[in-house]
Amino acid sequence: MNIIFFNNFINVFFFIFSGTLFCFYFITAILSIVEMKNHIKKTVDFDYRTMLSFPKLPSVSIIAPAYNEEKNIIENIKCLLSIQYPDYEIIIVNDGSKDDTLATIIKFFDLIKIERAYELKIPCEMIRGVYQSVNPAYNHLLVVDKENGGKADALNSGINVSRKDLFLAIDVDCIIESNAILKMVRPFINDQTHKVIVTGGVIRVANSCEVAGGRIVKVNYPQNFWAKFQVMEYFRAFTIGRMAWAKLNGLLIISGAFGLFDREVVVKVGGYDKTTVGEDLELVVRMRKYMYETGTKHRVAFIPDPLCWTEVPESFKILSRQRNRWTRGAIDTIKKHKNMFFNPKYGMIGLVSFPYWVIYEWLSPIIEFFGILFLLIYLILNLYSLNIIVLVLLFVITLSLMLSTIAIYIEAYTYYKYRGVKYLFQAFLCVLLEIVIYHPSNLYFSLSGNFDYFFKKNKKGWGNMTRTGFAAMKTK
Amino acid sequence: MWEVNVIIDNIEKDKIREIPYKELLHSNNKGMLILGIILSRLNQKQEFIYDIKMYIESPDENINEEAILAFASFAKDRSDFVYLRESYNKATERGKLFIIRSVSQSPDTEYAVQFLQWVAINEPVNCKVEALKNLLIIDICKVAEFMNVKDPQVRMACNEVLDINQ
Repeated sequence: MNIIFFNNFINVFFFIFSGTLFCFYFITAILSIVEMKNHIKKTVDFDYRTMLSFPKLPSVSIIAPAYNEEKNIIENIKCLLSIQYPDYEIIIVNDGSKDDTLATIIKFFDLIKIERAYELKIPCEMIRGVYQSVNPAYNHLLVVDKENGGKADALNSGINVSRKDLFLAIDVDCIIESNAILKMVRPFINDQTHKVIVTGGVIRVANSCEVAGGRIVKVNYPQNFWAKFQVMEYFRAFTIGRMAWAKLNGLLIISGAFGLFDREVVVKVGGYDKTTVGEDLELVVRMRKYMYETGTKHRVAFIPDPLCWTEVPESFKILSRQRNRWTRGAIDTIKKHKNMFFNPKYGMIGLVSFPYWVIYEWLSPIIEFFGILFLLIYLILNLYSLNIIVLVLLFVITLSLMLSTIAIYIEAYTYYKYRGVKYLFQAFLCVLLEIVIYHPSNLYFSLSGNFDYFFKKNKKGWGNMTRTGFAAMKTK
Repeated sequence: MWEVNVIIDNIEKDKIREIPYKELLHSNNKGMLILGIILSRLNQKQEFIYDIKMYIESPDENINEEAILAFASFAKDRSDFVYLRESYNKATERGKLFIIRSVSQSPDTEYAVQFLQWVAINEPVNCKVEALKNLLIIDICKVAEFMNVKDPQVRMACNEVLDINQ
């Protein structure tokens, strides 16, 4: 009797779990398509360069932490210097690099140490000095040299030194489109009913792309096996996921590699949390929590245009470290803000977004693992017929293919960055292989992240994230 | 603010000169009102200074800021600068910087120096730097006096202003 009850319970649990998950995916996919069409309708005829002459635009600091980046730092800063915006400054924070990052920048950009007044509004490691170029061509550039304290600490230093209204937190090795800030600023001045506290943009995979003068000149589908999967993954995450959550005003994560923040709000909530490896997710959650607690109608906006290009991990080992860190960061954030879970005080976030994160982002891989385990046990015990299992698998594969197809369709319909029959063929193959190779790998990364978080308490670091660098990529 | 920016940009591009300033400045629509204030400032319509002045009291941050910016750029008499000085605490960060720049242009130098010295001691670092920069233009000796004060932030701001490399 007990076994039958247990068996039924397991069946119903997995049915409800996977059913609601697919419903979420389906709804977000539809919302994304609608929102994308609206966005295109609103912006298709607009020339963003017009904004350069707008009389009332917020000023922007671009804050880019750099640690041991001597090989690529010059190219990366050159890319940032080609940004189009009327009032901006670029703050490169040298986070106590052990190599010659600082010396390289000083030499190339003719920097000298200057006196710069700042308030330590957010605690951070000691700032050793601030540098500015004597060359007027680089007068937007500031370099902050500080003791090593990690990415969050470097960003906090940059925020302390910054004097602008908004700041763009960016990984120094990202390539951003020259009009990226103009596009990102738009929600801040456009929304009349809500205070926009953060804007995020779409990040695309830069591996195998051709780079010249700090710009992507030709978009290629990556040659690397793991990078190919990540293109599809980024399509789905940014095109479907974040777009829909932004529409519902339930967006909780803005990528640490590329997000435009209201500096005043960030300072009020105490800046980036140095004790977590998921500082990007944690900050947005804390900001939203603060806005709810102060009764401010607010919004986290999202721009679906591909504005930032980044190099993704190309080996299983590095990818594993990255995903392990993402998982640990997510668990940490969930734990820190557990009082938001199904808490109506936090509106949409408390009732939908946060529970979604807990159930479908954190617990989902664990539930999936046990699902597979039960399936194998039931198969061995001959409790399920093979036909039913094949049917369920076919259903899952079809839905998975459908989501990926929608993401590819949206990309092709809107921005059409990847072209050609060869790409389409590779993408199709990739989507098929994803089910048997990439998805199980991701499952493993998540489980190892959970294991490390709960059983290796001392594991707090980022791990070594080796990159090829754009300088080493094919350049014209 | 999006529409306001777009309209101003088009007005500038099309060189439209027939603008109903008075109607805009007395509009109940927030966007129209801001449009009127910004256009008055950009086109130096000094005659609307007192129409604009009343909006400095506005609880709306955008209206308050634009009114301060416009009024600060029109201020000439001592009473205008006194009014700006009194509005300082209600201003946004951007508005405060404009007030500092404007008051330092006051014909009553002594009054301006007193205000700038007060800002340099009591206000956040951005304002300290701006105040000391303006004080430097009026009287370099007054800035030098801040080099030995106890407050490290004031010293930092002072060092920045006196740094010849900037």
